[in-house]
Amino acid sequence: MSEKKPTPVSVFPDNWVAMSIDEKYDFFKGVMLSTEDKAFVNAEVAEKYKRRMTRLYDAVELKEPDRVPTLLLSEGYIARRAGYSQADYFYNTENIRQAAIKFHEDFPEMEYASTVLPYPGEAFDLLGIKMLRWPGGDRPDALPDNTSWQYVEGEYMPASDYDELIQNPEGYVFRKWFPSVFENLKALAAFPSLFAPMEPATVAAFLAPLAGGPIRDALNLLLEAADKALPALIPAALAYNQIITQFGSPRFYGGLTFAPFDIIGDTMRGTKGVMLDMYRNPDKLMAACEAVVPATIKFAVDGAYANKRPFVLIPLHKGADGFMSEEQFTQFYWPSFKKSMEGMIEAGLIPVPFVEGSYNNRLDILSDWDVPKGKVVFGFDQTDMKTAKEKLGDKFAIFGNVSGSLFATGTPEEMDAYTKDLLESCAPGGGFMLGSGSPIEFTTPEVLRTYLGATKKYGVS
Amino acid sequence: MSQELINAIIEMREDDAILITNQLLDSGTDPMAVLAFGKQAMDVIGEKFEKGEAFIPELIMAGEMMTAISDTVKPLLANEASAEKKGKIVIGTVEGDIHDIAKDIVCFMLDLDGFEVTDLGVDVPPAKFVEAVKETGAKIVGLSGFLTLAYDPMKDTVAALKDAGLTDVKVMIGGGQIDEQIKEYTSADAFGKDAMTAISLANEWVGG
Repeated sequence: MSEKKPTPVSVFPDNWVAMSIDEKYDFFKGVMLSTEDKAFVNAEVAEKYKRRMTRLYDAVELKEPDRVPTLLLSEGYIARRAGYSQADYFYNTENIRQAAIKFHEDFPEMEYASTVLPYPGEAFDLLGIKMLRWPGGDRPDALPDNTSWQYVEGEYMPASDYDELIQNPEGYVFRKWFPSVFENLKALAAFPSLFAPMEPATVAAFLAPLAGGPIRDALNLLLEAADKALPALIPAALAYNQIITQFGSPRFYGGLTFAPFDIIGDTMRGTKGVMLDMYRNPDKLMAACEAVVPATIKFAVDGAYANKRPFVLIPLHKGADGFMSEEQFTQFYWPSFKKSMEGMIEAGLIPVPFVEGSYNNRLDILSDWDVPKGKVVFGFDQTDMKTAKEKLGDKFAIFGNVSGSLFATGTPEEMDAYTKDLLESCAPGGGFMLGSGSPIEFTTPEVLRTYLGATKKYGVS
Repeated sequence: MSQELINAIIEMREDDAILITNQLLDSGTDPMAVLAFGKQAMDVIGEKFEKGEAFIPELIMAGEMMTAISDTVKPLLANEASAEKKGKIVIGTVEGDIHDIAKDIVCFMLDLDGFEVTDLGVDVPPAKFVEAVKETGAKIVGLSGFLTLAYDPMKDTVAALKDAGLTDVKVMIGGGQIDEQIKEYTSADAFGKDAMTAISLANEWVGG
């Protein structure tokens, strides 16, 4: 089988490291807009792709596009309407591929690729993951087939471990957090120091503990899980390829990462733990957030560089209004989050934080952020969009806020009225995209079509 | 020293709150009075929450302090007749949803406010709500759900209560993706965005 040679446009330049932020940004933009290295079914589709990508970049760069782009978080709905269950995301990912293709066939007006995000259920089973419950499989605690996965709250890292995490984040995660969260990787706790083989005299001492017994079993299990995971992920890659080349709907996310505070709060200390730490262990919590910043940048960069797509989705969880005061946000959440995004921008990427809940009391803090224009895109759930546009509009593009409840229970007329109002107040001046406020699980084709058609009526400049 | 205890709780000085509690008890203060000081402090924190001056960390911290105080005080209460309750409430996270943090805060705050709370936990099917309401005679039901996935189970639970003839039971719903539109959709009597709304609704409904 002969592999198609990559076109020059998508090869990293030799002087990458020395390039400026703008040069890196432009490189990725060139790759994204290019239609050369993608096997479009015909020239018309290639044109459509280019037009949609240009429209997206116009919005990102705070210009008025020919038409406001329409984004949609559609992951739950696409499977439901195709008659597949949430369990298929874990155990029958080929069904999810088919569901996604069917969705794009039925809704060709979907401007950008829908989310196709499978989870390797068999790998999860092998590892014995404790931080979530999910549908399907034959575990006693499996959720019902049509229920989406959910976090299992817990203190997977005790407060007494903060120092260890701060001193050596990756080492801590590997030797302590893995055994705490992956039931079947407990033996990794005894994994020898990576510094052990640095002198010829101690190479053998490094290798000996890996040679047999529990550590070897744990490593083998990890590899077995990886082998189970790969086939589960391939249908998604195929789906995206088809969505791009057949429907001309660009995929722009290349990486996924999380805010440092959320990493500590979601699956290390747990929600309750992290909230109490603001009082009980404030200095350690702040130091821990700082300590994981490089990791949050690294996995954003790893994904985006491998995929050559610069947009990095950052779902935000625990810094929203109501979760903490403005002072607490400024002290605990914002500094490491900001640093993480700046690291991504530095690498030529475009962070796309998506705020779950509302950020009405954070807009001034964001507006004071000294960040290059048009290098971040902010997505919102329940934030007041008019105010967000006023306060952030000269800094970065925004999208979102069309609620899951409107999709689930509204009429086409209500959807029309809402999107009209939203577009009339936020679209003028550019830097705006229509977006849903949460992943859409339930809706009707009529309501969805009204949503997808809204920018043609109210978003043309 | 009572004011010191109240201040310590309001100012989130956990160690001081425990210390002062012990000092008060050692010096012969009525254990019921100590609990009452805690309750006063919680009222202030509740007010601050409503005004946007206190948030989730403060509610959770206050919960921790109140639990510690009542754990200290309770062994000293010689089977005293417990204070009369304002009313009974059945609460749970609806079927298919396993989120419990917000629900736990609501339960705790309602309990502190003088309601008798039956917490059914998470992933609670409609029939279990019906059963619990019949068993306890509760006139208020609270349904929690974090996901959009909770819309239909909430609707089903409201319907199940009606179908069981429990038409005088009032239902409040709450959670991250709950709004007026979902209140209409589920035929619930009211919705709330936070624990304080749950308390004021409950008080309103018992005529408090």
